[in-house]
Amino acid sequence: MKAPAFAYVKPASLEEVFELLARYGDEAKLLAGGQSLIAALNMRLAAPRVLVDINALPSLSGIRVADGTVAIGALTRHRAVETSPEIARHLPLLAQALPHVAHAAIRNRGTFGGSIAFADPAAELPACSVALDAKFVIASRRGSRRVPARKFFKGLYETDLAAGEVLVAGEFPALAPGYRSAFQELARRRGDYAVVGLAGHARIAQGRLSDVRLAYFGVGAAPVLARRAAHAIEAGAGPKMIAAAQETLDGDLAPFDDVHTNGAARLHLARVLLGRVVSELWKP
Amino acid sequence: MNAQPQEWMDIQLTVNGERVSRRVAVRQHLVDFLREDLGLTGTHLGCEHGMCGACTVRVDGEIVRGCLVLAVQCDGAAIDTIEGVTATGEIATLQRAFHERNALQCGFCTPGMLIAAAELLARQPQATRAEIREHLSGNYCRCTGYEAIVDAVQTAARGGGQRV
Amino acid sequence: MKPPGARPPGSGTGYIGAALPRANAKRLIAGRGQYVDDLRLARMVHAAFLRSPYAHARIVSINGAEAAKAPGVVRIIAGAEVAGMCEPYVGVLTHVKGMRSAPQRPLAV
Repeated sequence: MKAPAFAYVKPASLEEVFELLARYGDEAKLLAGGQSLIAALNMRLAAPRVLVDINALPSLSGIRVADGTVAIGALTRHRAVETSPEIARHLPLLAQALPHVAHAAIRNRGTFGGSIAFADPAAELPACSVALDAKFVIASRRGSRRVPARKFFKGLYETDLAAGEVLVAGEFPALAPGYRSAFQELARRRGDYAVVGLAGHARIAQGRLSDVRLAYFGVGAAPVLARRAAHAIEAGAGPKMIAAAQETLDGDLAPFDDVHTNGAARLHLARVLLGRVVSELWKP
Repeated sequence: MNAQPQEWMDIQLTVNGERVSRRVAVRQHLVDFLREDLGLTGTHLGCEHGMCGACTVRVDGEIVRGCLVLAVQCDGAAIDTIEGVTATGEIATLQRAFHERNALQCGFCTPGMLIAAAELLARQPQATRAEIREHLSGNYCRCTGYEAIVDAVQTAARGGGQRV
Repeated sequence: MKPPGARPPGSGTGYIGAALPRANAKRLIAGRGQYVDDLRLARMVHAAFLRSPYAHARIVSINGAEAAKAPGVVRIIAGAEVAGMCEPYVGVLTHVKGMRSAPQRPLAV
C-alpha cells in the first residue's frame, strides 16, 4: 500500500527539531533510518501529520571511544557499527549481534537510535544495551539526561522518551579485562524477527564466571535480564551449573504466545539458548 | 527557522549517471519515483514493507530497500538501478552466471537479487556458499527454490563461466 | 539396472536431460521484463477495492458520495451497479446432485 499523506521537513539543528516537536506534538514523528517507520506508513499502521527528518544533524552520528566508554551516536547506521574496528574491540557483543539484525540493505539505512527508540520486543540492540548496562543520552529543550538501558524499556514499544525528547546517543562501558560476550538468536530464517534471543556478557577467571548478565529478547514486551539464571551460573561450574541455571528460567521468564510459537516452546528455546551462550562464555 | 513542513518538494539527484530534477510528493517512496516518474520499471515492488527485497536499489553506492526510502530523502544522492548497472556492464559476470545457471523463472525477484548479490561480491569477492545464502536471505524468490540463484552467485564469485 | 537401449542424458536428439538456455531470460535479467504493474496505457485509470471489514455481514448501504468528490476519483462503483451487467455464476458439483453455491456476483450486493 502507499503511505498516507504527510508533510515533511528536514531541520538542520537539534533546536529546530525541538521547535517542531513542540509545535506538532504527537502529530510529528522523527525519521531516522526509516526502516520501521516507513514500513509502518506503507502499511498504514501509522499516520503522522509531519515527518521530521533528522538525518541532517551532524552531531548525532559516529562512534567515539574515550576513557573506557564507547559512545554510539543515535544516527550511526547499523552497517557502521557492524564493521567498526572499535566496536569489534571494545563492544564485541554488538559485533556478534549485528549480523542478526534484519538484512544488509536494511542495515545500510537503519540506525542505532532508531532501534533503541522503537524498542521492538524482538530487536537485538535493546537487549545488548541491557546486558552491557548502557546508558542512553536524551536531549530536549530542558537540556540532556541519561537513562540506564535497564530503566529505559518500559513496555511494548514503550520507552522512557517523553514528548519533545530526542535520543542522541548510547554510552557503553568498554570491554573490561577478563570479560567476554556471547550472542545467540533463533529465527526461522536469518534476518527474520527473533523467536527468542539472548545477549550474554560475563567475566571469566579461573574457570568461573562472575558478573553474569543475560538479556533475553523476543520473550516479552521488553528485554528481560535473567537474574536467577545469572546467579546460578555464578554459583557453579560445568554442565551441572548450566542445567541448574536452565531450571531457574521459569522464574525469570514468562514468555508470551503468538501465532508462531507458544510460551512453553519459547521457554524451552530460551533454555537451549542459555546452554549455548553459557558454554560459549565459559569456553577456555 | 527556515524549514517548514511541506507536502511537495523539488529534488535533484543522479540516477544511473544522469542528473534528474523533479517535483515530488514527499510521501512518494524512491521506487515509485523511479518507476512512475522516470519510467525505470526494472525495480519491482513485492511487499512494500521491506521484507521481500524486490525493491533493492543502490543509493550512494549502498544497497537499500527502495520502498523504505522516500524520494525526497534522495535529494543530492546517486541512485543505481538494474537498468544502470546493466548498461555499464558492471554486473555482466553475475548476469551471465544467472543466465547459464537458470537462476530465474518469472524474473520478478531477479533485479533485486542481482543488485544485492553485486554488493556481496564487491565486499566479499570470495564469498562462500553459506555467506551467499545469508546475504540473500533478504531477497525472496517464489519460483526457483533459491539453489540455482546461489549456484549462479557462487559461479560469479569464482570468476564466472565455470561449472560449480 | 538400466533398461535396454538407455543412453546418457543429453546424448540423443531429444530434449530430455539437455540443458536448454532461455534466450528470453536475458531480458528479464536486464530488468526489461514487462509485468502487469509496469504497463502504462494512455488515459489509464487505477482501481482500488474497498473490502468489507466484516467477515460475514449483510450490506445495508454503501455511500460513495464523499469519496466521489475526492480529487482524482473518476467513479465509485458498487455491487448494485455492476449486478445488472453480468449474470452471476452458480457453482455446482456434478457428483452431488442439488448442491449449488449462492449466486457469485462480481461485487457483493
